[in-house]
Amino acid sequence: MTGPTAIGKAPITIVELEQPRCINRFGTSPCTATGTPKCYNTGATCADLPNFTPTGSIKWRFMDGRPGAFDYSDMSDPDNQELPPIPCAVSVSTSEGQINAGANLDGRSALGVTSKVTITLQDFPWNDQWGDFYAADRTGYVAGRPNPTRANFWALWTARNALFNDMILTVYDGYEGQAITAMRKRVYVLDKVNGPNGSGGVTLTGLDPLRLADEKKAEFPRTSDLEIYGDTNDTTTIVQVFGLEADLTADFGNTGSDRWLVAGNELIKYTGYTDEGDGIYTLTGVVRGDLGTTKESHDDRDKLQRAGRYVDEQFWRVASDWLLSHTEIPSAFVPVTDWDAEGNEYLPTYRTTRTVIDPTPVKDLIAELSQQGLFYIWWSEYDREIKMLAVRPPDTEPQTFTDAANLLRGSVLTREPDSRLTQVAVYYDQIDVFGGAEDTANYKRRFTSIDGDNLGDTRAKSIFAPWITNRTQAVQLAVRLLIRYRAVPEFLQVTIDAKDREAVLGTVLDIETRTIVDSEGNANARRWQVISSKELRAGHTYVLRCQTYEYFGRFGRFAPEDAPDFSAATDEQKAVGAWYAGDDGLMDDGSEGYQYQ
Amino acid sequence: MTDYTSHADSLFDVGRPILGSVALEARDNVIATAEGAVGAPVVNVQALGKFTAGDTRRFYDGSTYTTTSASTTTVYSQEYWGAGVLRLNFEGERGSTSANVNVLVNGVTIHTVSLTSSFAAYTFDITLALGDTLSLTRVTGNNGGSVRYIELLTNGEQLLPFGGGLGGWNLV
Repeated sequence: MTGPTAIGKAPITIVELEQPRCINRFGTSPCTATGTPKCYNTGATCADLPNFTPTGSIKWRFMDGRPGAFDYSDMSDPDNQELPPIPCAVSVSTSEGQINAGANLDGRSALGVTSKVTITLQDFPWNDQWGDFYAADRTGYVAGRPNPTRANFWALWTARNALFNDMILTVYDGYEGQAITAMRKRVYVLDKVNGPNGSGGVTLTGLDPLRLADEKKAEFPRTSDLEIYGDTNDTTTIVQVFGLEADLTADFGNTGSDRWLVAGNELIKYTGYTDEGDGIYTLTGVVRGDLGTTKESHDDRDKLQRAGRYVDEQFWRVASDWLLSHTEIPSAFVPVTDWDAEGNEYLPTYRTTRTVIDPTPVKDLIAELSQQGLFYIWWSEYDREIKMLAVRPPDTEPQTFTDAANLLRGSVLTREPDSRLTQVAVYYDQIDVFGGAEDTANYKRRFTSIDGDNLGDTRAKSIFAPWITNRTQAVQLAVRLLIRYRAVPEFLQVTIDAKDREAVLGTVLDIETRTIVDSEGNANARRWQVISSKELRAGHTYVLRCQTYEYFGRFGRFAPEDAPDFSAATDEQKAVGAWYAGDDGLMDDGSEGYQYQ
Repeated sequence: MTDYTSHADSLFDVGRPILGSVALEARDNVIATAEGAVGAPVVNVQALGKFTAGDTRRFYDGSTYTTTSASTTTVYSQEYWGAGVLRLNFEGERGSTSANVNVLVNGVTIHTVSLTSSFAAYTFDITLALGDTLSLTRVTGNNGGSVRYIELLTNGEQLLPFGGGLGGWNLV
């Protein structure tokens, strides 16, 4: 019985830990290591770190202790071994990620909630039967006999792997009889290995890669190790600094060789430097008091901080630059080509210019940038990449879920009246980069959108948007937020069977359920977006938490010049074009008019 | 000042979404262009002074220019910043001897009117190019003549007179 739609399906979960390993061999050129014990091709056991080349890998696999043989191994490439699963009472628990599209859900980060997987398993005796290139050279080895057991697996593994950089945890959700390649995969970055505890239990913690943008892990610009060298008056362009050369040359933004230093409340621009020796550098191409700041005198050893700056850059490209260049998130997880396609299609004219003067957690920056740039990102654990979507209508007709066909018992509708908005003010075009980011006086312009049909109390929200300099973007941000939140936001929790598990985080669904009816008691199909998803029973049932989705209706696309009148157009042409509606907002046939996207 | 946002042609390709942001920017671009915003197209002077002949009075001189002797006198002369067709009205009469009124563009006579013994009205639609000078010259015999009520009309467009000539300027 295989597959999520099969009757009597028997779910199986396999946990894979992919660990980088050196492709060299102990004592063989280019490796110059000598002595004993020989290494385990890991950094912690390496005796020749300059030649440590961790481009190989080994995939350790673990599963529960069910009877049967499950040979999912592939040992054909010694430098990239995929081992058979070791039975060790694996259990998997996940805390689901959550989208916060539009960034207005109270109490949640604008970036949403990142997810986490916790894997518990039982430690077991280990004799290095796999994965050790030098087993025959170890103490106690006897040809023709099994290797001697040295200790328990995790005690050995943690001794041989001091750091967990670049280690990937993959959870395979499949069914007995399925090939491992056909199973659904969830991918996380290994964060911790705890244990074994007194009863031999070990816990592996994997994080959604977006956690690598957290405050403790990534800052933009990173904290500089630079100081003013010698007293420097407020007019001279001979500026000397002391510190790390790498902090002078690093790129923080898209300005090429134009770089800036923050000195007090002054921005000093430079384009190069001369190395004077002993960590002293004389800046070249200096402009004092740049970008509208005031020239100041600085004392010897005053701290300097590199500023980050983007000029006329697309919002999502700023975010991808942060993830790729200023966090440790593997580049394979950021599908820049897909981001560009989405951004160029739906946010083609959205550009930003801003200077960031303080080291700021990348996560916080992305949160405010995505809100102001009208896009959102999240870790798609099944697609194994960080997705980016513009705040926009769905580009395909959403699937409809009904009580009869898709929803298991237990749908729950909740409301968040505190998140309702009747007025949104966007403050934009920041005046002084050293001024308060949330000081209304520090912004030149403001756009306010008010719900004129509001019958309830006033609920105002102010957004301080230092990334926005353009009125159109301020208008779009205010209006879209107001459209989404002018009614009390509703949340629907539904449970689905594995056959519908393609509905994952970010999916837009039309849901028709007896929980939601109109004033006459008729089922009222509504549009929702899955903002979190969790496996309730492995391989069987999933819980989706959905938020009302405001993009309901008919959205226009440019039609060819020879397109017929609406009345003569085919359904297909109507689906991919647009025609002007009458003053009543309806088309000639009484159907709804087209909307801007 | 309103922001100007550049729009690539591809934004309007068949099948591309019709974006509210682009529509809003398109509206703002017109305003930004009028305001001379950074990045906005520079408005050409030709675009400023387009006119067509019509019934909207844009210039009127109610004076009567009379002489009782033989003379050649320019009674009206003006350069224009713009191009198009302009309607010229005036009235004239001669003394006891012949008198003419010449309509000139850049000093070249394009119409000559022989005046009658009592005031009569005359109308001409004059084609002008950018920087052209329109003039009206009274040419009288021994007993003189009069020109009055010089009037310029367009179809509602404004006239932008200027002085000094084009000189070395190339405004085209």
